[in-house]
Amino acid sequence: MKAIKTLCTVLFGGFLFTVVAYWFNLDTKLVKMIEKPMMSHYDNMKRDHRL
Amino acid sequence: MKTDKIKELAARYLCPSREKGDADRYQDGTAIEIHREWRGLADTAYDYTQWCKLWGTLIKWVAAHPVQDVKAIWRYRWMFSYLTVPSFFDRLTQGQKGAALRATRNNLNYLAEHVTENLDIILSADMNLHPGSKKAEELNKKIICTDELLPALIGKGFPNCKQVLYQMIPMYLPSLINQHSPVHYIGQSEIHGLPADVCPLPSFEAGLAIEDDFPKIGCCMLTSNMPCDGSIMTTMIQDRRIGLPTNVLNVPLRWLRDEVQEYAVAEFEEAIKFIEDHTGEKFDWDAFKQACEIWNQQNECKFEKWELNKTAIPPHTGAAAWLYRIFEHQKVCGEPKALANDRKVNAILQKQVAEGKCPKTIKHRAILWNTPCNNYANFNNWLLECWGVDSVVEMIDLHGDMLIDTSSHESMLLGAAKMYQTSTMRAHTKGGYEQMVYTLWEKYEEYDCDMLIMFDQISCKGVGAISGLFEEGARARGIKMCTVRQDLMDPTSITRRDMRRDVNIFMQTVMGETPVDPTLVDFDDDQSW
Amino acid sequence: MKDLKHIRYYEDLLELADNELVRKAKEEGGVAVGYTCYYIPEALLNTGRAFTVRLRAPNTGSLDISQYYMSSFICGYSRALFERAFEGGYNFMDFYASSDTCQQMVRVVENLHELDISDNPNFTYGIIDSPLKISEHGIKLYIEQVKKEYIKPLSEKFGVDFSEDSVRKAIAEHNEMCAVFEEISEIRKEDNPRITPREFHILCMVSYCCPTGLILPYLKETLEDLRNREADAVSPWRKRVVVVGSEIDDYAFDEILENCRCYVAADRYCFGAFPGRQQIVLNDEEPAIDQVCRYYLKSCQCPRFMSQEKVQERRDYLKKLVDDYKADGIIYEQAKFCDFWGYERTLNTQVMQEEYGVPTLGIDREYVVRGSGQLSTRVQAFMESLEIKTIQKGGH
Repeated sequence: MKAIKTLCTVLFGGFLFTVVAYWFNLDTKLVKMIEKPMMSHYDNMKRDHRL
Repeated sequence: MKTDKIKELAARYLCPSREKGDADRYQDGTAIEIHREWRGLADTAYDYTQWCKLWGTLIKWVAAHPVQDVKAIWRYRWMFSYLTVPSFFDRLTQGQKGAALRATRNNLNYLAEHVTENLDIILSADMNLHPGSKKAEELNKKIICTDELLPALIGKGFPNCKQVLYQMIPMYLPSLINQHSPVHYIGQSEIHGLPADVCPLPSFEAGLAIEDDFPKIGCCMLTSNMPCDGSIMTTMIQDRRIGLPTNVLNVPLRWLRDEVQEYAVAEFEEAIKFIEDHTGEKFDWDAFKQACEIWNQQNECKFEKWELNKTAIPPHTGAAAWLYRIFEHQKVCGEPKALANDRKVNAILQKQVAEGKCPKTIKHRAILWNTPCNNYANFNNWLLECWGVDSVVEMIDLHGDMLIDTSSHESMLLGAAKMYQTSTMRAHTKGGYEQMVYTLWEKYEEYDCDMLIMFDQISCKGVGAISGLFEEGARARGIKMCTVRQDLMDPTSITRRDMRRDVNIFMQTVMGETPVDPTLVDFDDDQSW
Repeated sequence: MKDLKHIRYYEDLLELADNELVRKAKEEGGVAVGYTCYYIPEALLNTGRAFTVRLRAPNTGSLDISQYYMSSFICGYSRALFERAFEGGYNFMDFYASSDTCQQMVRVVENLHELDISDNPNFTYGIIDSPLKISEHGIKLYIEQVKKEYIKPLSEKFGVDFSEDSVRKAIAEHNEMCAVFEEISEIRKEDNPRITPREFHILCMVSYCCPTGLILPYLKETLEDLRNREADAVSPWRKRVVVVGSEIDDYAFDEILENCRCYVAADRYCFGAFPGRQQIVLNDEEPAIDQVCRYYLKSCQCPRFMSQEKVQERRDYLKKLVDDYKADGIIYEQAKFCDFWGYERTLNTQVMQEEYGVPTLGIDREYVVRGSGQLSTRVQAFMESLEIKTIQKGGH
């Protein structure tokens, strides 16, 4: 019974989290936050540039 | 003060009804939405479930090979674009409700599922990520790389192999998903001497080769002359980096001529032999026949969609339609899952039309001609939301519409060869100018349009060289034509804002219209993906 | 050196597409076949009453009309042709032999057709589809296309005789002309050549732009003159180059190079001699039409051929020209907005330099090159770099 209660709490918590993430567009905002450092990383990578 | 601030934030984030329009949701420059779109309870709830489904697909993909996927994101600049896919899907569903929303989400989620499967195939075999790996070497022995404009139908005859559309994952899809993805690579091409006037598509491909950012996969490569002269030439640069045994599958240009079909079939047969020689597999006619039959049924589904769009309440227009058509024709032709998706979507669309519903404001029915702009994939959404212009028919959507006769090997080869000749960006730009010019006027009438949006892709030489014929033809027929300049996938030469400006001026001065959503008339999204 | 015989006459002929010899051939009942590139088998279309005129637009000024119809990002050659057609400069042309091998050039004839530009009531055209690799079925396609799109309308509508004898006679005359150029090309190999780049280009162009039968006697006289010509006491040339790239139908290009004392030893561009001015050897076993078509397809050096063996062949062909004509370097030139040569130039400027060890300059240029200071500067700098290389190697 306790396990079911815990599971329901977790599932409901997960559901709430997804609703909040969906509505407030958190996934997009998170990716936007890491964009600049990622681009910087790509710019600094050693490359074998040739035709 | 603090209470006022809280009330302001609450209104901004939680009360969509207070917003005057879509652009009120955008953060400046990036056009990232401060909160997702409110479409009414039912549609928003539906959109939410589909968003969860998308994330389920993405999580499943990462969970299968977490180390490999992270390595790929770390290694390849273009991989970053795939992290922005949820945002991309949001843009393509912007303003949609009812059947349009459901059709788009189903199409896109299927696309996501298939692309993640493809990524698994590619990244697992990629010698850049797994140098010296025997497992990757073994996988590569059964990977057939083909030019992305060569439909995957030929690969269906080799069920033990995987046909990878080589440039689709690193180049074509990122150019749609993230407008900035081509910029660095085009820059590399130009630094190495490629003229700036060439089409961005082959320039992007050349830049990938120069940067060594193509995955190292495959046992052989089928190149082609599709879709145009620029693509022919960029192959030379890519060949040097790819380093695989290569066969050119020459697709005839004058595809309307019966006398070139023998050649087209001979090329197809040569390509089959080439793949047999390099994979050790024999062409499976039964598997090929099955795929052709599935493709025919997929086409029947598409024909239904086109018919529905001819009605006064077209349910499935815009980017979700044409983008899926390209994907379907090139990549998932002959796929049972694709057919199942088509049937599901068609049922949704037919139901809405039968019920006479139209949950969108249509003030004008437009035909869009010439290739659309990859770096503004949701241009159609903006047209509809801002000005009420519904893209009921588009050139890019109207290709590959011939059914394949599967009664014999010969007829199947003929049908498949014809399918290749009428591929994306090929069916109208080749075959003679009449194919592009006269078909436009026919479709304009057929779909009961009242305006024409002509994409002036400035670096497309083949279409640019007949641009005057469109203007004169429109004038002679009294058709209101809006020319929208774009540069396919280079946002640095012509921005999305420039494209909107072309439409705004036309709608205000020629059509005498007021916007449906004034907030969308002008806004800054230069930094947006 | 003394002026070459007939050189002034040739310059006059090149002032107009509809030149004196073209008009003469028309008056004699000839069928004028205009064309633009090597994919069109020139020698074959000079059969019977038909005579070919490789199209150019001399003295091109503004391109306002073509800019409207064809946009400003289209290559200057295509736009200039369209502009000239619009002005009525090609009304002499009875048949336009075109090919869907360049998406810009093919649109010229399509525009002409749709806009009904030609005043010539007989005007018609044919467009072939051509393969971009060499294979037996590709050669078959090419032959069939040439027969259907060119030979059939020329014989049915214009009564041109394409019988075996007639074709072989045309090839024999073409070979006579090519023999002239083969001999002149040998003169270009001399350390102090007795023909200048400008002169050679003029000779080449008149051979393309005038009816073969009518220009040949003049060319033969010019050759005779050349045989006896004395070179300048001191060679004026600093260095020798092979020029490769897009079509050049304006000998002002050579004038610019000559001003930099750069000798064009071999010309691997469209409207040039390589390929195009080599004799076609026919056997007696196969139909001449088939053999000629096969020859043109196999010898074509257009960068549109994308198979790896053809890509490699172009480089080897160029290296052979460099070696045979004792060139010090290569100039890869590209017409602005030409996709084919844009990529070819970009890549091969590096390949020829790094993999073949031949100093190479890559340039782009307008269709009209007259007065191009930028071109002159680039070539000048290239000459200096070649001279420095020679000094560094211990030469002079």
